Amino acid sequence: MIGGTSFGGGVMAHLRSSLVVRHQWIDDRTFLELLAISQTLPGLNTANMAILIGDRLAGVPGAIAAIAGMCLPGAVLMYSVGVLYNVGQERPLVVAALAGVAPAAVGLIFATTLSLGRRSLSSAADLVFLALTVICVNRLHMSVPRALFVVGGLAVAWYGFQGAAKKR
Amino acid sequence: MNQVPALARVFAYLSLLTIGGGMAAYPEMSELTVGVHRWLTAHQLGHMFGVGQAAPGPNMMVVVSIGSFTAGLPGAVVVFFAFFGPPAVLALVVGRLWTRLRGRPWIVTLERGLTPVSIGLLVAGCLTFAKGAVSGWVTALIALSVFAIVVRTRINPALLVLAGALVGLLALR
Repeated sequence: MIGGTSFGGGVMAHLRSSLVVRHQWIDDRTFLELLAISQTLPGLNTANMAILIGDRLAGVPGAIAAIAGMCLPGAVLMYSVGVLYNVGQERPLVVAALAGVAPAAVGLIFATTLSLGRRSLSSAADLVFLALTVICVNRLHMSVPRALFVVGGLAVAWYGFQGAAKKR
Repeated sequence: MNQVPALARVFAYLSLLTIGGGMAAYPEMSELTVGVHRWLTAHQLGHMFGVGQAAPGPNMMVVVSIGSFTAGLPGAVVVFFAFFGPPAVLALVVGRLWTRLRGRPWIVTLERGLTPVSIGLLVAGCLTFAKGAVSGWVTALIALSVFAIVVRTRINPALLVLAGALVGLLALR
């Protein structure tokens, strides 16, 4: 149903062009709304999208088919990577190649995060909460749930008061 | 084999931390798999995570590699279901409720407040990974060039991972 043929950070763009543009299974507004849910809930964004869209189109069987199509090719591949790495990890050539792969991955994940941030952040306060979260996790070594509770609570309270003030 | 229950526990827990995206769970994943359980070293985790960026589908498929690296096929299968199962069920349930809840002020506020924090969690995860993967100017150069290329072009990221491997072969031996 939904092919697992997309790579790295390109998954979302690929998903949109195939679902909204080519097959016209859902419209753009629905796509963006489901994307917002995917990002707010725990779970990988692409896996959540597969579940949400699969469920919309064909109920629970659709959701299962969609997440399987999205995840299984990569899972099989990465299973083999784990097995092969057990065997080959000490060869110097493998080590050298992987020492180059890891920083390439750094570039990729920062680029993905940047595009997500550009799309979803809109105010100076957003940047403050973002920075606070980073400090809590990386400097103060808070666990993710605790950082989420502390900074998340602060941010929700901030936007809650702002919303209430606007109404008055 | 006896690591399988622990793998299930750890990855089911991690699956619920991936708010905003998979990288949000990276600091905790590294702490639990490397520090607490010693299933692999920080280097090994970084290597396999890097390769995972070239795999199709979601970008956290490295969890399956950790499973198979630690406990073979049973490990991989258990990790897969532990990591993808809980959020999938949650998404299914909440996705159906959402149509009824959407537009309520408290939902809007909650989403508004959690968005910057979830991106912050992603950035924190990226920084944690970068600290392990970038050491010296060659790796810094690889990271910066890949970042610039991805931001400016629409090239297939898997090719860039491959290019990173080639540069590694030539310059990091």
